[in-house]
Amino acid sequence: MTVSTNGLVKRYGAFTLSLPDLHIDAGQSVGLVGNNGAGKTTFLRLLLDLIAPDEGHVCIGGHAVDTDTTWKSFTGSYLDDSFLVDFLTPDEFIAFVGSVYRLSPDEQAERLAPFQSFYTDEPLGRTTKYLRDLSQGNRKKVGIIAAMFIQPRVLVLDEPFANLDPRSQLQLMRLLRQAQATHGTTLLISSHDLGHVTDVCERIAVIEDGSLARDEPTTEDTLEALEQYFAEELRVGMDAAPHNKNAAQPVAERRA
Amino acid sequence: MYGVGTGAWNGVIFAPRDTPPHADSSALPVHTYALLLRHHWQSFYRHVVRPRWWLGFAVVPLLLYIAATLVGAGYFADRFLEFLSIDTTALALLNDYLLGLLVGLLGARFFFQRPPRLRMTPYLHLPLPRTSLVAYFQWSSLVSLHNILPLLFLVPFWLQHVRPVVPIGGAVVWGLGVLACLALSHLGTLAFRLLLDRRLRVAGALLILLAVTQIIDQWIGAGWTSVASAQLFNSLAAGNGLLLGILGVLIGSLALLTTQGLHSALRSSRHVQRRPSLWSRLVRFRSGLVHNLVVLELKMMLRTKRPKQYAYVSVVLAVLYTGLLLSDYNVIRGPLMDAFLGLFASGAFALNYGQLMFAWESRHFDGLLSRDLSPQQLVLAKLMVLQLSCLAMFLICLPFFWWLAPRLLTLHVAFLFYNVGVTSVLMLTLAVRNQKRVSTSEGHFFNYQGFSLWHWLWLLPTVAPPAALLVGFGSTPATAITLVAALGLFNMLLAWPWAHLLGRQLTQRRYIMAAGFRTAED
Repeated sequence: MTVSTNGLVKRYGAFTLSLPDLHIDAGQSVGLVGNNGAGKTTFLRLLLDLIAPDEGHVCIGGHAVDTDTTWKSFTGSYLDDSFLVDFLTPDEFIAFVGSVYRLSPDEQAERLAPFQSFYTDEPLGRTTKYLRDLSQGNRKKVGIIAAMFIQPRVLVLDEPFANLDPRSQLQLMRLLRQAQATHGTTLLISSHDLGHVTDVCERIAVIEDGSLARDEPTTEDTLEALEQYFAEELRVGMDAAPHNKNAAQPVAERRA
Repeated sequence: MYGVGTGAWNGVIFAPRDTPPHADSSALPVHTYALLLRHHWQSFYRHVVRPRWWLGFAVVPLLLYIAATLVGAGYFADRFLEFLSIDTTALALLNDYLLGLLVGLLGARFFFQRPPRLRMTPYLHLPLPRTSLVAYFQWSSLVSLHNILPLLFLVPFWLQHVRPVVPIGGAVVWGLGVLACLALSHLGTLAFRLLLDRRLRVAGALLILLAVTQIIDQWIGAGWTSVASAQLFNSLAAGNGLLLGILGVLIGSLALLTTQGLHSALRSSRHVQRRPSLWSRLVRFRSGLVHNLVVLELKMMLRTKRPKQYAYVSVVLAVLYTGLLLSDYNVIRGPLMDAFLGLFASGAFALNYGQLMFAWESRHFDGLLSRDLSPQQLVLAKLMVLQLSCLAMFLICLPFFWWLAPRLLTLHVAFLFYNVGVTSVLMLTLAVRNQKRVSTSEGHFFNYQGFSLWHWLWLLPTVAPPAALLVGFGSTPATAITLVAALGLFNMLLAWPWAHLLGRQLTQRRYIMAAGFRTAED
């Protein structure tokens, strides 16, 4: 299922996110990277119709998400804790999400099987802890499982590797690759972890100051290139210390 | 000398420039108090004065008017008595009723005074000594309108009607005694709030005991409150220092109790892990999306603090009010009272809980929006919850009507239809306008998080139609009751179209609601 933007603009005061023509092919995995406040989460929220665009649209499968809700039936997502119903236990939450996507209990059990080893601290069956009482890492795991076990055609995750232990990070990478290979899932992953995101995604898009600064396929050199890119940005930022006249100038502009 | 805090909050909490990032909690309390005081003022100024400066034009004259009225009433109390031809002294009259007034003030405080614990929450993670925090918020809560307004009356009253007529010693003791009673009323409210928070059943039992005592007092015409009031304040006016000492001890005990309660509430909140109760386990998700959304709402009611307290309080208040209003104790009768009674008996829960629907889900509203749930299904599920609650409340209050006022049984049935058909829909209409984040883990009492002016005004269109019918057809109440029932029944048949209409409104307002729910809890 394709994901695309059509003249998309979102403004927050002086900040403007502008992604006029981003296109993601069906089954492609794209990693979104960028500094805090660059606009990654804003874009993901626009993609999930959680905020209104000021101009243009985001389309999933050719349907504008703000006018057509068809995309919801085949899109799985987890951005943060607000995607969890924290007064439910993990099994109740999974059952609730499964029922929303019209999965029978048997189907749910079958689809949860690949995730059993990912969520090891608590059994995925009947549990006695509420989501609000779980650790941040386990809450995230439940959120990711709930987004993935419905076998979505489009999967949107924000910082999926943060707060996970190293073993779970590796497992998650394997699960994401499996989803893409088995179900042709289009992946859109925002992450600050350059290593993991370049491992999983075949394309990396760098968002900076609300616009696309780089967009290229992942190669063996991508990780190094990204590290150099952000190191350069840090150097420019340090040069632009308070005594520097260009301190207020946007980084992209200074680089140009 | 080291201050407290890091000074990194855009000037919200200031610290001297040499403040280390790991400032310890052994800072002198006076510094903590100074910082909190400054923050208090900034918080007041930034949240109330600045954004709503225009409100000052309406509120300031109103406050001045109220203040002038109270000062005038206190200073010229004797002239009022003369005007009303009441043959007694101002002091004697006040002494008769002052205790009752202070007890009545408990009710006002109960509903309108914000608890110190809620104000304390943003500071708990900072390296500020908790003892100082508790002390500051405990005592700064004394500076509230509930204490200032009575003083506006009492100070001129004392100057004009106490000091000149009783010996100076008695006047001083009376003045101090009244201040002590005011403080007791304040601390009593805090203590009751803590009790409600931790021992809901004990607090409910106390409330029922108070109500029963009042009913018996009125029933046998003993006037216990008035007698006790006269004895207490006349003794104080006579210079009874022992009584003043007892009041002082009571204040000390209550202050200690509430301070300890506040301390332990800070320690015990939040991180207590609870297991799902059997009841909430029994309510299961099955096939059928609307059913599952209803189950989700029920689980929230059973497992989260504020919604749960709303549910309990709705039942307790409905039972108490229905019992009191139907008893002989209630001397106010008439069509308006009937409308209020009918509306509240079966609609208490819908009126209370329904007004904050959707806001209850502010923590996971984004999750609901991004999943394959239609707005119509969300609305329909909530409508069903409210309608079922009306039926449940109807059954709970039915015995009172049956035994105490069988003549009003038809009214009770008519208002069941009205509440199911009309009140539930009106509450949901209000609910789709909610856009303030609500924390479900905070207690309900004295907590107005999530409310706006609309929530107070919305009672008017809810009460107006049945009240107008009952008043308009006062001579033929049967006709009025039939019309109320018919109105409700007609609207019940329109439940599905209403769900669609409200679903469309929810769709239109989803961005505003989600943005509001995403903002930090105030």
